[in-house]
Parts: sequence; structure tokens; C-alpha cells
Amino acid sequence: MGNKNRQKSAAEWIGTYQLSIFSIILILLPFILPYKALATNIIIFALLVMAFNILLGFVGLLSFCHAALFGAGAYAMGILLVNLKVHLLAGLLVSSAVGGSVALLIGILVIQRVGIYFGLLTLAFNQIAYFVIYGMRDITGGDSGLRGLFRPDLNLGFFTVPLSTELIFYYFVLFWFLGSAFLIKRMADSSFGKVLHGIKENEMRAEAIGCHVKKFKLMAFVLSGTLAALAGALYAIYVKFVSVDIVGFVMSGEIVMMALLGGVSSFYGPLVGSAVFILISDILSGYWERWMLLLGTVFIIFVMFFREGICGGLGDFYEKYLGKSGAIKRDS
Amino acid sequence: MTFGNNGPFFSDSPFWGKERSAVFLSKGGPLPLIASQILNGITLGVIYILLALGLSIIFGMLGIVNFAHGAFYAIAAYLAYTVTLHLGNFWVALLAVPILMGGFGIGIEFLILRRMYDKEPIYQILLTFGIAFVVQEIITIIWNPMAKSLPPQVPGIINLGFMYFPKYRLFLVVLTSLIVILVWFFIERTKYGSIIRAGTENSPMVSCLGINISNVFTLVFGFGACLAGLAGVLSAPIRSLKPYMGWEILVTTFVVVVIGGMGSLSGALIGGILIGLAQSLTSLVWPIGTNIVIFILMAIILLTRPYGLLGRM
Repeated sequence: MGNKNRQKSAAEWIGTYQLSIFSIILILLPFILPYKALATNIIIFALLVMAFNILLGFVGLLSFCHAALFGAGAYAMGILLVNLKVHLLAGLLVSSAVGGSVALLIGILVIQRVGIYFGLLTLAFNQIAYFVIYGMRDITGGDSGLRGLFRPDLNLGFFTVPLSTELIFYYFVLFWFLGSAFLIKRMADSSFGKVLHGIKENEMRAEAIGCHVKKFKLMAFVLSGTLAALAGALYAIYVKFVSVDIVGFVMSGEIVMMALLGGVSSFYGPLVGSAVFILISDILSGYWERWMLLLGTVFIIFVMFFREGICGGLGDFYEKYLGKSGAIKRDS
Repeated sequence: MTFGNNGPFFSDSPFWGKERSAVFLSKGGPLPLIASQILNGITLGVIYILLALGLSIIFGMLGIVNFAHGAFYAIAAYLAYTVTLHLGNFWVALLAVPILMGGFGIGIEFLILRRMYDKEPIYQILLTFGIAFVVQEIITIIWNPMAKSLPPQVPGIINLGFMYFPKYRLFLVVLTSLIVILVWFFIERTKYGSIIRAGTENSPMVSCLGINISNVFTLVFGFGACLAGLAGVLSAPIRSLKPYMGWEILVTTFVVVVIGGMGSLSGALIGGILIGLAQSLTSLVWPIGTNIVIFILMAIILLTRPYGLLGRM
């Protein structure tokens, strides 16, 4: 309070430089983890969960169709690469656009309803997408998955980036992740983000003061779908195979789990959530095949007692013991 | 990454694989074929009705969309499998397992769910979702992920003139109809039923009238779990058992409940039969489409009649 000259405490220092700290951790991530592909996996899912969290965290909409949007991007990328051998960047762009269009199509219908009916409608559309992909064997490969995928090198004309090297591919994915994170951060701070937050707090009031609620919800839905599809496209060239399982209902559920573990009202929540989820699953699956039992139990405990997730919990801890208002939490 | 549990859990549609040979015994010609598919649709429909009744009562009373409903169904089917295999008697399972599942439901409501009533609906959904995940993993640990099947109970078939119909399926339809009539009688004509109906309308008011509403909530959840258990036991002999069978039927039950109207009992009846028929008749002309059609139906109904065919605000 007015004491500008006092020494900055460690906690405050973390608060000021959290973005830089996170960036450094992300850049060093492949060297910290047991193997480099794991870091790539975490970042791809962090991007997906971040896209999902635009709806849950900003607007308060629980969507069960993000597996379908993720799958739309993955299948679009796979089909473009296998059949048309397009340029990598064109592939990423078109796949994201496909995801955005699917989101627009689904979004126009699902935003007509609120609450659990919104959730159940998105679930219905996820299932439609699943069975359509399952049924279109000629194009998607049905239940045997889309095969013959490869990871092309990034040809920039004057220079070729060898993406077959895991480390370089990690930084390629990280580039897209940071770009999307920047976009979402800017969106959150813009008036558009403020309106979304207003809708989450009180939809009727937002409508009453003249916000076109459905239009804003639709815009958020399309943005979310586009980024989810971008994650899907990256995933397709990461595993070089697209299985129909990534469109399944269980996948949608796992996205929700990651988001909640990290904390839905925190900007860093999706990253932390997917990192914890994938690390735990990677470590545990080596020892015990039924690791989901443990994760499911942890999830129940989080829903019951730590609804703010890891980041929210850290923010509270930070506030309580270090006497600073939640620097990690987005909403103070 | 490998998601160990992400099997293609919808490939076990009742119209693919072993089911087909068992039910396509019609004596030729398109009309008998359609008639036999209508019977099969009703067989499917009554199982959906049992599940939808429980889901609908729980939603109406507790305001919770129970994502663990399919898990209750799955665990009951597996319990029926084990009991029948070890005791050699399916009827013991038919009696004991639903009661056990009722107790299980009461335990879950008492220990976990009741702490969540004052929280946002999203977290209630996520909680039941987590329970379903855990139950599915427990099933996989106890019974391993390999598909299992129970030998047909009540062997033999009946000649209906235009087709042969397995006796067990007839038994299933008759028994379920009796149970549905009993449930209807219980809810519409008894004192306890009137408490449940009143609780669905306005639970704070019921509690003001001196009724311990939280006990009623517990019992209602147990009752719903019991009906799900019954559906699980009854379908164990006619479906192959897989750990993720619960998710498959859960999603279909959502469609039934949403089409009929959340919280409406007669809606669950109509929705169940409608979806059963829609699936079996679509399978005649477009086998892959059996599952697409019901979700398109659900989307259309949700968008045109937000509260289902028979639901109210």
C-alpha cells in the first residue's frame, strides 16, 4: 500500500515474471522430461484443453464435443497429407478452418440451449461425428484408423526445417501453442473477453444490458473449435496415425478431466492439467495397466474438494500464506 | 499416447455380430422381416425404458444428470455373469443383483453425491462422470477387458407364425412390462409415490411439510440404481459383456430421456420404445446408421421441443 520502495518479495517476483517463468519451463521441457516426444504430447493436449477451456472457463459452457472437433482437425490433416500431399502450413491452416466450420455448424444449433441441454446436445453431435467417421471407411479407414500418414519437413522455400527430429518438432508445436496462448490471452483481456465473462457470471443480465449473447457464444465456440482442430492437426503428424478413438466420448471426458485438474478459471490451468494428466498416465501406465482408476479417483476428489484445480489451489495457497492477491489465478 | 480404455466401444451395437444370427429368423418376405424387427425393437426398448425410468426419476427429483447410470448397468451385468457362472442359477442373480445395486446407489448418494447438491450443476455432472470412470476401471480389474458372454437363459424359441422368437426375449418383455406397471403404480398411486412426485415439483416445499427430503433423495437414487441394475442383469444373457458397455448404453439412454422429456415417466416409456424401434428398423436399411439416426432424432427434438415430447419446464 503506497510503499513503492520496499524490496520485492520472492512471491511478488514470481507474480511479475510468471509469463517468462512459464516460457522458460516450456522451452526447457523436452530436456526435463524422460523423453522428448512426451513434451510434444503435453503441449498438443495443452492446446486442446486450452481451446476447450475458452468455453468452460470463459463462458461457463460444458462441451462434450471437443473430441469431435479435435478429430475433425486430425482427420482433415491426415486426408490432406495422404491424398493431396499438401504443404504442411497449408495443411494446418485448412485443418483449422475445417474445425472452425464444423464448430460453426454445430455451434449454431447447440447455443440455442443452455445448461445440461447444451451439454447433452454437444454429446449428441459428438456421437454423430463418431459414427459418421466410423461409417465412412473409404475415406477415414473406419475402425482401423487412418494409415499411411507421415510427418513432412517444413519447407520454407529458402530453408527446410527437419521436423522428423523430435526436438525440432517440439519447438514447432510449441510455436503454435504459444501463438494460440497469446491469442487467447489477448482475447481474455479484450472487450470480447469481458463480454464472455459477463455471460458466464449472469447470462440474463448480459442479455439485458444489450449483449447479443448467442452471437458471442457462437464466436467463442468457433474460436474454440478452430484451435481444437489445430491441436488435432498437430496430433495427426505427431503420431502419424489417426484412430477413430480420438473422436470417442471417453476422449471428450478426458479433455474435461484435464481442464478440471489444472483449474478452469486459470490461464495456466489447461497446461498444468494436461501436463499432470499425461505425466501421471505415462509414468503409471508403465507399471500398472489400470492407471485410469487412480486418475478417476483423483478427479472425484478434485471435483469434491478442489474445484479450482491445481492452479486455483496454488493461487489460494499463494494468497493465504504469502499475502499476495492471486497472481496465478485469472479472477482475483 | 495410448489411452488404454479407448476401445471402439460402440462396435458392440446390438445389431452387429452374434446378435444378428439370433434374431434374423424370419420366414422370408419384407413384411415378416419388418414385423420381426418391430419385436426386436420392443425388446431393446424395454431395456432402455428401465434405464430411462431411473435416470429420469433421479433427474426429476435430485436435478442431477447421472452419468454413472451406465456404469451401474455394466457392473450389474458383470455381477449377473459371475453369480450365474458360480451358482449355476440366473434367477438368484436376477433377484439379488438389483437389490445389491440399490444398496450401492444408496451408498454413493450418502457418501459422495449429497455433498454436491449446493454446487453448480456442471460439477454434479463431472462427479458422476468420475464415478463412472472409476467403476469402469474396477470392472476391468476384476473381470479383465476380454468380452464375455453368458449362455442364453430360458432356452428355446417360440414359433409366432411369421418368425421364431427366442423365449428369453419374450420373458424379458413380459417381466419388464410388469415392472414398469409396478413402478407406475408405486409412483402414481401410493403415498410414497406422491412424495416423490411432489419432490419433483418442489422439494423445499415437501421438506417444509415435515418430510425428511434428504432420506427421500437417497432412496430415490438407490431406486434408480436398482432399476439400472435390473436392466444390466436382464441384458447380460443377450449381449456380450465389455467393460465399456456402460458408456454405450448411457449415451443411448440420454437420447431416450431427452426425447421423452427429462423427468417425465411416460416420456421415458414412449422414448424407450421409439428409440428401440428406430434402431431396429434403421438396421434393416442402413446398418451403420442405427446410431446416427437416434442422435439426429435427439438433436431435432431438442431444438424444436426443448423439453422433449412430454417434458415440462
